[in-house]
Amino acid sequence: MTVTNKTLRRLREHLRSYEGSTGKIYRGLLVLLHTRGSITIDDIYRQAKDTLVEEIDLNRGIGKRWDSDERDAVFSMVEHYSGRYLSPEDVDAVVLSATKSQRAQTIEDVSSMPGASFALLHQKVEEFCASREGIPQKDLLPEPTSVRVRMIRKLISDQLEYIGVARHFVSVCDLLPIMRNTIGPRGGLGKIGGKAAGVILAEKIIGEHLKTRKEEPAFEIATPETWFLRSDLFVDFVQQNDLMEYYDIKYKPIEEIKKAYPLIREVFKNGNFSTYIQQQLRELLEQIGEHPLIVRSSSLLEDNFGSAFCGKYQSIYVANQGRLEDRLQDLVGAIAEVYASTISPDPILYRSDRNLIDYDEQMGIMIQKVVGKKYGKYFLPSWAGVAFSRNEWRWTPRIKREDGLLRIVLGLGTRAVDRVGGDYPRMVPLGMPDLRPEVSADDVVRYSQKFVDVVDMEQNHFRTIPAREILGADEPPDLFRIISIRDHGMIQSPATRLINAPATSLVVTFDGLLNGPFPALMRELLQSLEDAYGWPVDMEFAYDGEKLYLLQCRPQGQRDESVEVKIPVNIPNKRKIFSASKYVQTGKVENIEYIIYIDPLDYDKLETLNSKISIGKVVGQLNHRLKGKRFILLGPGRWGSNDINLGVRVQYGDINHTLALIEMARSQGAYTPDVSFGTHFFQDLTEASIFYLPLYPDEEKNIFNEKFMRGAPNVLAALLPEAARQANTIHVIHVPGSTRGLFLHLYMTSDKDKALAFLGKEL
Amino acid sequence: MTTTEYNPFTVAQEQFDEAAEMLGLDEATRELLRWPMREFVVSLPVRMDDGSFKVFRGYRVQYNNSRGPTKGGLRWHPDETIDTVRALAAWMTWKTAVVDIPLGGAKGGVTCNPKELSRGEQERLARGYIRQVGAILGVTRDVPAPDVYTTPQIMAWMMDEFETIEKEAHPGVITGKPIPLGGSQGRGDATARGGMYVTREAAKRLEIDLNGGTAAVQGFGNAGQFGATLAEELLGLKVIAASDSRGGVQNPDGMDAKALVEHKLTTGRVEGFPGSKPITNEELLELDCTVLFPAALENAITAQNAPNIKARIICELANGPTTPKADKLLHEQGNFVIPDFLANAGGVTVSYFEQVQNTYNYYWPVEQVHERLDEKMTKAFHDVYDMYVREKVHPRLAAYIVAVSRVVEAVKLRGWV
Repeated sequence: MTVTNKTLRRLREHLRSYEGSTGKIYRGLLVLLHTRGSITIDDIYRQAKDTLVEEIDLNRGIGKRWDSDERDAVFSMVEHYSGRYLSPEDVDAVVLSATKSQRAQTIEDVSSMPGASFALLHQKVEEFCASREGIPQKDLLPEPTSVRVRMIRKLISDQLEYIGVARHFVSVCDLLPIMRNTIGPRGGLGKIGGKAAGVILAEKIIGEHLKTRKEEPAFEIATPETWFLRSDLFVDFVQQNDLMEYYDIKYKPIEEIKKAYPLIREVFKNGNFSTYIQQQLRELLEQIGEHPLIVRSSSLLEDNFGSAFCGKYQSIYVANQGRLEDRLQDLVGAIAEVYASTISPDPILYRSDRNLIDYDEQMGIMIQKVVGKKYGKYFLPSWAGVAFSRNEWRWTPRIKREDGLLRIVLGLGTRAVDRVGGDYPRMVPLGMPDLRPEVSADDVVRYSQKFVDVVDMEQNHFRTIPAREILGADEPPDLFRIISIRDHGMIQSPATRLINAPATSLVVTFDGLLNGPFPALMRELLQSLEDAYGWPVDMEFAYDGEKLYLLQCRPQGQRDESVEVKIPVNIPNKRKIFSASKYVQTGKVENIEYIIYIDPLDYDKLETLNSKISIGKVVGQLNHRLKGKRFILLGPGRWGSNDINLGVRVQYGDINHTLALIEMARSQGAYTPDVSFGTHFFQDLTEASIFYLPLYPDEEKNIFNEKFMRGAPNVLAALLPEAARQANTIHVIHVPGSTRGLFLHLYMTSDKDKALAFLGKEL
Repeated sequence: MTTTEYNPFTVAQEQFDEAAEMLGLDEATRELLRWPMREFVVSLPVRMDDGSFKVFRGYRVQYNNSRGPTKGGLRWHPDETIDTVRALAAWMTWKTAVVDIPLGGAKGGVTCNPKELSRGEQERLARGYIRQVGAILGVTRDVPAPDVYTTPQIMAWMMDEFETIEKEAHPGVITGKPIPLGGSQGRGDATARGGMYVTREAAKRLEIDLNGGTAAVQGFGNAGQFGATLAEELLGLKVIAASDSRGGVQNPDGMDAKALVEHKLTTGRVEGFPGSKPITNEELLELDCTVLFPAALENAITAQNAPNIKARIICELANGPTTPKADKLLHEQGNFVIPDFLANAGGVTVSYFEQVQNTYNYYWPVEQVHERLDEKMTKAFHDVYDMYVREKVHPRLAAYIVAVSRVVEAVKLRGWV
């Protein structure tokens, strides 16, 4: 029979090629014959024994290992029946599966070798994946989870929570494109860090989710082309440039770090890589061409569950234009600057607060192609932003926390991610996307985006320009979905794509985009990510006019709000200090000993920039001085804003010891302050377990005991004699000292949206 | 925080009483004009986006229609009460009378928070309101317009619902519509423009040369922005200071008003305007200038700061910027106040023009709107100024006297009292 001959011929060819796998191949065929019902295993054994009957010593017993004769007899039986019952394709499948597991064995060995280099791992993964290429999923043997876990741990992240999620989604072969795009010292091994880990996992989760969808999503979803610099390259860089000495600085007092950092940054920036790495980067740039890049930190501590180092480390845009050598120098400079940010004051403080200071911080780097297109001399995405699976920015109970929130901007997403004073991203509660706290046309204009972040291709750097420059361009990006037209006191979405209004009448509202399928899609993606992570997440995204890109994804910090707090009743009015009834979180802050109070009206009266800056500085000193004491901060507007007129200029390090941060918004018509919710600053607070509460003292139902707040003795001069001059603006109240031994207690419940701070005995 | 109940309608009645006393009105006339003629309170069920139903409370108060069909805005506000609506309906009656347009006064509202309503919900609420109240509306009955938290879009939905019910075109049933649906040219800057015309006339009567004079604008929203540019364009004033809720800017040599508006629209604030120095809202009010335009909040000028006010003319583009005590002080000091319901009556006057154009189904070019507005405002100002001279009262009371006596004349002619 021709078929039989073919099958046997094929089998013999395979046996010649895979000599080391002969046993496995025969065993595979034996199992296949048995499962097909062609002949049972028992029959084959019996017949094999029959052929050897005279030579078998029956006293040896059954169940012992076969000797080589016996094995050969069984194998030739298997061969015989394979020729009779199996097709050449059957044989191919068995052989493939057998040789694959042979390879898996190799990758398993290598993945558990402590000293295996990245290059070796890469080679093994290439081989392993090549062996699986072209084989239908159903015929593939599942790869052992232990191999996945070891590979993820070696290459991506060793955070257990991360691995726990990633092992369900990221297969060994998913690592291959990453490994191919990874740069690091020869012979070394390092990870690609947290931020990179987040993107890879999110891409996989979303990919799996999209497979379950009946129809294609309204936007094609992608991730930007990305290259990774391993964490061992960072070590290499530090050693190569003799920068180790600077690392001890993390143990120095913060003031010293602040002072020394600018110098350190310069030293880093002037460092260089080995010729080998430089060559790799050069090749990378040749491959990319003149496309703008963003160099993002991806430290090993970054974006872990419960401690997102949001915005702590730098991300730097490089326009990547011009001569190759110039582009290389720019890229190296950007990488070095990101490296330097490992020892900048803010992250050091953040780490020391979380007992992470001794952790040997290593920094991976992600180099991404900036998502966008060229408009004139600027490069930018049509729109970009950050989406949160939990919405902490709710101005009405109709908005549900679990529906998620979007902060979206025209141009680069930096304006949505960071806090920028005086300019506003569109904030979108994803459950009710067209709801907004501004109603009148004037307010909509006032709280709309006025500036755009772009990469300037001529000047070769990141820039902020007035939005009108982009809106008035010849072919502005996605205008139909981004803008509304202001005309005769109305704000209206364009009725057609023919937009004739001048750029001065265009307002960035995203109404067109939000009326379409986009919000529902974002909500769906966030939900699938949150389900997979088992934790609230946020993700950064950008749209270039064609595809919706996922740039970053990480677990959102979240406070445990499961505790029930009851606001006490029957507190006498004179013991009530303040109350709030909007955007209240749940929690208790008891036994508050000090109140640092900056009166909004007094703050407003400060005329010079310097006098306002000095208030932030004194707050920082008080924060340091009162470390370990129980104190809260109350002050005008938006703390931490870059715009000093909106609130006291502080950084995380200036407020990190306070138990609660209270933003006082004096009522100004229809004005709803751009509260800190949803910003990096707010996330810092959440993760530091600092409560945040906005206070609206001008609303009638709210209490604000001005008599106590302004009348209680001010102990500022006693605590900080050098700040005595600021005592007119900064009131520091020692609560027991002003109340014959009482303390302040702050109770907050998000259920009822109520908070009350009152004086009472120490609890 | 104050806990005393402020009832705006009681305040409106007190203001009327003062004028009634001056005019020596009889008891029946006083009683008639102290209260609205008609009030409608309706329940408005709306299907919400989540499928549930919510019932809103709506109002329409037709205060007095002796001089013509009533006219007044529709407010959507969470703190809306029948008393607010009554007070504002009374003020509309005096406002239409002071500018002598053949309309009465009304006001309406819905207790709701538009910040919590999606676009679809707003539309269903707007249409629901017309289904309930439509029967008493119409260009010959009562004509609503946009007010707090209601927009031209909402007016468009309402007009459409009314026309759907009536099965014919009724563009004049509502004003403040988008221009493609019959809105009038010149509505955008009408309030500020009307303020300029009366300021110009005031200067003439007071013998003040405005050309090269100075202006300070407190509040830089819609009215303030137009106020600044028009003060420069129509009156030849130099804008030496302007402020918004974040702070102000000043330059004694004057600032380019258009550039300042541009700066405000680009940056969201006046602060940081090139060539200017910062100034607080309080300092701005006390600047030595020819005309002060309060265009921001209520109670900006109080008994405390009134003695420091140096402006020769105070043109109240905003509602209620001056407290009653401050009013008297300014009068005694010789600062001339053009009271809000005259100074900002340009808005309702152009609304009236919109109604007229809708009725004729013929639309005027913007120049014609300006010309007719000028005519109305100029006449209104001189009527008030003449009364101010004749009765030697402060200008606000003079304006009340002019308005109330016109309404009294109408009700008497009709034989109501």
